[in-house]
Amino acid sequence: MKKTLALLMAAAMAFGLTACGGDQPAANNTDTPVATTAPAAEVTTEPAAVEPPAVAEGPEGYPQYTGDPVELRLAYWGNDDRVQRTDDVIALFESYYPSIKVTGEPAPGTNEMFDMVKTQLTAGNAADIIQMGGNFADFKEFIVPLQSYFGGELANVADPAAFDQTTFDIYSAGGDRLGVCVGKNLLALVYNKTLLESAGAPLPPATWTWEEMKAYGESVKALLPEGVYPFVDNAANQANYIAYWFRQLDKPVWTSDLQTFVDADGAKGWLDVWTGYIADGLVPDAETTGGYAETSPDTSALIAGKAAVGLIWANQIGAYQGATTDELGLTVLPTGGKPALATQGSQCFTINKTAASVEAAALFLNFFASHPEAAAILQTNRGIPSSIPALESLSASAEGADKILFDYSAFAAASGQTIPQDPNLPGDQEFIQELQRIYQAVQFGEATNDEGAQQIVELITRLAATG
Amino acid sequence: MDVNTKRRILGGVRLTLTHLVIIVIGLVMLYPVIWMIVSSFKPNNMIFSDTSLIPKALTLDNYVTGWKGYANVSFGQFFINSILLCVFAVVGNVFSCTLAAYAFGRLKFSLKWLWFAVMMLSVMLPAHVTTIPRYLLFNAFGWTSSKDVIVNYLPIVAPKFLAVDAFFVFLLVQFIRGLPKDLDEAATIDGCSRTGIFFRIVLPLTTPAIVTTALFTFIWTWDDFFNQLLYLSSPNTFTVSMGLRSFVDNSASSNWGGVLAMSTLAMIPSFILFFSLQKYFVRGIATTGIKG
Repeated sequence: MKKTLALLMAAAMAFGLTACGGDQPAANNTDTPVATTAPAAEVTTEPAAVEPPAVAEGPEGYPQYTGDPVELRLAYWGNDDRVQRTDDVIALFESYYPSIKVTGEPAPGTNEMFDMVKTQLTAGNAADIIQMGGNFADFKEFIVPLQSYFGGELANVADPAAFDQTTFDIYSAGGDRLGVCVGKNLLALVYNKTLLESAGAPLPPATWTWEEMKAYGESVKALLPEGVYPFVDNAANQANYIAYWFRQLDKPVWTSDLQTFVDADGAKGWLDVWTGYIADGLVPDAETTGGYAETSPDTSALIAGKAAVGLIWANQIGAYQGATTDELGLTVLPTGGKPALATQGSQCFTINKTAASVEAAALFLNFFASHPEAAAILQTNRGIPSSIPALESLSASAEGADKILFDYSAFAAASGQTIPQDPNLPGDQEFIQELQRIYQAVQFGEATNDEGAQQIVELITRLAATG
Repeated sequence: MDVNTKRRILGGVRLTLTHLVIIVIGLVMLYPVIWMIVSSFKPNNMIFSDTSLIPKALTLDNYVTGWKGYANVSFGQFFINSILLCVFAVVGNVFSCTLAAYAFGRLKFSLKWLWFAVMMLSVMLPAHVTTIPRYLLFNAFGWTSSKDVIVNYLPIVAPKFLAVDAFFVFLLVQFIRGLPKDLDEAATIDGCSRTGIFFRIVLPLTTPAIVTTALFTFIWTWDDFFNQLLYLSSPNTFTVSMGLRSFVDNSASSNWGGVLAMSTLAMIPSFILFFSLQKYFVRGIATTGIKG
C-alpha cells in the first residue's frame, strides 16, 4: 500500500510539473499538429516579417483586400453538417483572400454559444465575427454598424438585385444595420400528412382564418384515433405566436422604435382561443401539453403522435421530417386582421467592435452570404438563402424537405401576409418563461382568462420598460 | 403449523415483498437508462415517434455516425480528451486536497480557524458567481482561445492543483481528524518529521477518503459541461459532454441516435470506476461524518 501511495504521489507531482509546462504537447491530445518551439538552428532574432499582399485579393466582381495579413475568429452554433459546410466556405474564402485566415469556433448549441459569447464579450476576448439570433439587440453595444461598408467591403450584399434587403431591416437598431443574414426563416404550421390521410381526414387548406382553423379541428377530431388531437397547444411555448396574434390586431408586442401596443383585450382574445380549444378537445389536456416543450422534434407532441397540426419554424421541417417515418407538410398560420407573418433573419453574422480587422471581417460576411460557390456549399443549412440567385437556383432543384420549405416560403411571400420581423422584446427568455407560467395557471384553472390577460399585459409592459 | 414455521413463512413472505418492491422501484429508476440503451439501436426517425422499449427495427448506424464525432474530430478523440482531463483533475485534487486537509487537520498555524472558515465559505459560494472573474483571470494569463491546445485545458486543470475544491478538503479534514493522534506522537518520538508523518502515517490511513475524492472528482469532471464549454472552443479540444451536445441542434436536424449511442458508451468509464472502487468509496463516505 505504501508503495502504491508513494507512486501515486510521485505521479501527482510529475503530472503537476507537466501541467505547468504549457509548451509540451500531450500525446494523443489532438489530431492536428501543435506548433512547438522551433529547432535551435531555425531560430532567428529578427521579427517575422508580415508582408502586405503584393496584389489586391478577391474573386471577380467582389471587393478586393489590400490590407495586412490578418487572422479572424468566427463564433457560431450548429451541428456537424453545418460545421463541415462552414469549414468548406472558409477554405473557399481563404483561397480567394489568402491574406485573411478565418478560424471557426463552433459551439455545440445556441444557448451554449451565448453562454460562451457573453462571458467572452465581458472579458474582451470574443470572436471577431459572431453569429447572432433574434437576441442581437441585447449585444448591440458590441456590434459594428455595417452601413458605412455597404459601398465597399459589403457591396455585393448591399445590392438589392442580388440580396434580400429586408434582412437588414430586421437586424437594425437605432438606424444602424448590425448584421448580414445568410438565410431567412418563417413560422409555419406543420401537419402529419400520413396520420390525417390514414384517418380519412382532409389535409389543412393552403390558407385559413382562425374560424376556419377551429372548424377544421372540429371536423377532424372525430376521425382521429383515441388520444390524438387535431392541434398542438402552442399558446405559450414561444413568444412569436402571440406576437403574431398581436400583430394581426395591429397591437404589436414590441416595435423597432421601442414601443409596445398590447392591451388586455388582445391578450384575453388569445387565451380565449386556446382555452376554447382545450374545452372542445381540439388540443391535448394541460398535463399532456406540459410534457412537451415544443422546441425541437424530441420535445414535440406532433412527433410523439399526440396531435396532427403544430407550430414550428419553417427551417425545422427537415429536422421534424427526419424524426418520424410519417410524411409531413407545411401550411400557413391562420389569417385575420393585418398581415403578420414575420420574416426572420436566420443565422445573422455580426462583427465584434474589437475585431482584428473590421474590413477583413466585412469581406468575409459579404463573401459568405452572397458568393454563388458559397451558396452552393451552404444549400439551405442556414435557412432560406437571402441571396436571390442562390434562392432561385436552389428552389429549382430542391427535393424532399427542402422542396416543402421553398414551396412554403414562396407561397407565404406571394400571400401578402409577410412582414419584417419585429425585434425581440427585451428579456425575451423571461418573457417566454413567464408567459408559460401564466398560461399554465389559466390552463389549470388557477387564473381566469381576464386575470391571465392582465398578467400578460403587465409582463410585457414591465419588460418593455427595460428596453 | 407451529409458531416457528409460521414465523418463518411470514418472514419469507415479508422478505419476498420487500425485494419485489425494491426491484420495482429499481426498474422505475433504471427505466431512462434502459430506454436510452434500447433507443440507441433504433433508427433516428423512430426514436421519438415510437418510444416503446421493444424496437420495431434495429440498427448499429447510430454507433457508426456517433463515433464519427463532430467537425472532423472523431468521438474517440473526445474520449481521449475527457479521460486525460479527468486523470489530471483527479491527480491534482488528490495531491492538493490531501496536503491542505493535513494542514487543517493536524498542523498548528496562525489564524487556522479563519482560513478554515474562509475555505468553508467558498463551499457555500455558488460557482456561477465566480464564473466571470475566473474567466477574466485566465484570459489575463493568456489561457483562453490559445492556439496551443494544451493551454486551453489549464483553466480547468490548474486550479485542481491548488485545492480549490473545498468540499474535498473538508471531507479529508474530517477523515484525518478521526485518525488517532497517538500514531503521530509515536512517529514523532521515532524521529519522523511532519512530512514523514504525512507520507507514512496519514496518507496510508486516509485511503478510503482519497478514493472517494478521486471518484467524485472523476465523475464531476467527466459530467461537467459548463467549464469545458467556456474554455474549450476548438472542436479538437472538445470532451465527451461537449461532443454529445454537438449532436443536438434545435435549428437543424439532430443526430439523436448518435447522442444515445455515445451516451451509452460514455457511461462505461464511470460505471467501471464506481463498481471497482465501491468498497473504498462506501467506507470513505461512512467514516467522514458526511452521510451520502
